Amino acid sequence: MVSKLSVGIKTAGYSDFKIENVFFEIKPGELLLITGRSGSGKTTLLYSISNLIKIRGGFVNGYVLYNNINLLERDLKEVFEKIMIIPQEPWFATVGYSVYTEYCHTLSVYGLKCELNGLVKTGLINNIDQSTFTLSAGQYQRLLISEVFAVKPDIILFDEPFTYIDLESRIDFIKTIESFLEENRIVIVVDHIPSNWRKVEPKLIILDNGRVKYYGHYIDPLDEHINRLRVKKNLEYSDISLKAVNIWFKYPYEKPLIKGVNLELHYSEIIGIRGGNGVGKTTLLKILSGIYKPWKGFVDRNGRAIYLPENPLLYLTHPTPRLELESCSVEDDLLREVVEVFDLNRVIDKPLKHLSSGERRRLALASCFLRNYDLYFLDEPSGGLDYHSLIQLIDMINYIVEKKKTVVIAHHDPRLKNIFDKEYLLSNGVLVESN
Amino acid sequence: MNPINLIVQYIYRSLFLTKQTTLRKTNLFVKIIFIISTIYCYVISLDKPLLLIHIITVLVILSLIDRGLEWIFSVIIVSIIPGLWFSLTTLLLKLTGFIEIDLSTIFMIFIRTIIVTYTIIFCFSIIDPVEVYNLLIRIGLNKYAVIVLLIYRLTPYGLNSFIESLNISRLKEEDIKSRLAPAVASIIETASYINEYGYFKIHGNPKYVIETLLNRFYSIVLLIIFIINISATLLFP
Repeated sequence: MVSKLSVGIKTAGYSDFKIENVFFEIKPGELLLITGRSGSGKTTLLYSISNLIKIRGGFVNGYVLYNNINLLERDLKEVFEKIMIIPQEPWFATVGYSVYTEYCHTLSVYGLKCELNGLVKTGLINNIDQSTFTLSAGQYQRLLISEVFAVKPDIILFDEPFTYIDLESRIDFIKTIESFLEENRIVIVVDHIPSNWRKVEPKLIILDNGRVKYYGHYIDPLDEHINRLRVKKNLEYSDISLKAVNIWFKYPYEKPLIKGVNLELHYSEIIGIRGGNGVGKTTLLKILSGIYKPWKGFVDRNGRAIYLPENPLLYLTHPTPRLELESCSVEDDLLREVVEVFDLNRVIDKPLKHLSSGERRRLALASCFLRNYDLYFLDEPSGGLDYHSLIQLIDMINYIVEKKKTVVIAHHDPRLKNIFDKEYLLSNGVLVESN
Repeated sequence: MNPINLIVQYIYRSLFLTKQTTLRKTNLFVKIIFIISTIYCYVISLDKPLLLIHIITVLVILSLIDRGLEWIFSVIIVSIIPGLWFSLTTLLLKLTGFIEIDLSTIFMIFIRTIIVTYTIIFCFSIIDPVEVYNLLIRIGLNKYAVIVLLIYRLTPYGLNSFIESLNISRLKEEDIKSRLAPAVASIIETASYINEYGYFKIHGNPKYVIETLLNRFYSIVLLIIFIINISATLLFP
């Protein structure tokens, strides 16, 4: 029997950041949405509720009362028998090397025999032998949801669940959440775009700098930002920067992923490539940037290209932003200007491991720009960014294309639609111009 | 593409890009006796060199049926590395006068090392981690069983991060050595996140074994090859 959850966090956080005085209650069958800008404490609150914050070296003072038990005073193993958390990057919550081993191991840890019903419900039953390493973000999420279906925890926590999943999968995801609510479970979701959840009419907490700014029924608190998103300035296109002719690509032991792609890019252009999870957007960027050689066809680049991965840590070389940018060997004036434009002043000497994902992305983009590349291939650059950070990112992209560069962005973020000169849809290996 | 990047790619393909192949789904006992008989053939081949041809023929045929040419090519490339290392260092010792050895023996060192490396990779690739996981649970080491899953979960991720980081070094025109730190940092960060978000899955005790589906046909094939191996050690001159 699921009871109500009462949370009273007096203080929680880390040595350099804390949340204060967060109090709320949720009844079975209710959804609580936690929103706010990046760095407002959303994830810290989620970590505090699940007591996971202690593993991260943080602290929490207060109570999380469930069935008259304060979960903060209990062993983590006991907490996780009642709560399941699905992180923003769902691959971090999987320990099995294949869909089957991940699912069965999880059930085994919860003391359940491996019945495959959960995988049937999420449509992953045909992928049981697939390596988790090759799953798309959406498939990872479905795998974790299969485990939720099987384990039936009382409380389910989701951290930014829409970051890496395409628009079609989002609709299915909300239906799944509705089914959890119908079963009288408690669901808590962190999302920086609250309007995603308007239909479900959740309870809402807006956090601002670690404090509760609003707690109550659902309102549309951030929609005004949509109109503030800057759109691309209409620059004159100039020469061709890249020409790809009849590109085909396949991975070993797989069927062709890219089939006969033709593409012509110009300087001062921003191009979008959209498509479902696992359709090959990243692979196409790697081919266009020169990391992969096509199986058939050719790519003719009229300039130097750089690929910026979804995880910017793999791009960065030096331990602090200052060292990374100084390694680009440019004049001091330009360096100062770029630090200003890319908003890196506050973090210039901070170790990379302490930078947020958004700060790492800004740094990587600044480093690319200072190295004077002509073609920029950005993989999911807006994933997990709130509106404020997104506006910053768009400003930076505009700054780059104004210097007669080409920017290609693989994404499934509907907020970006207005910035592109052209947007393409990659589906079944074929690239078509999207309207 | 630089040579280190290529080698890492071939290691990755050899060890982790084999999917859940049919040979992995064979009976554990049959697998063990097959591996023992192959090792025995190799040991006996010191006196009966024809057995070397027998071993490599059997392994290549099995690889062709189960994995395909791309896998065989990757494993041969990886196997050539220790082969070259051992044969060239022996040659160097011969040229500097430390040992007396003829060139045909050095060539045999090269061939034998390739075959033994190929055999090790092949045997590794037919081990089903689930069987090891189940074995640990059956002998009461439940809390260590997840380690097997984590090895197979994280190693390909680590190799792939390494490849990605090296690829970017080419575009950034940086020294390869400078790319090791970012790749390692990314792996450490991933491991620490998995420890956080998968806390219960890692620190909780699995109570049941994971059932595996056995492929009877390939179990019989391996059993027949075991018999052929043993017969070959007796019949070959």
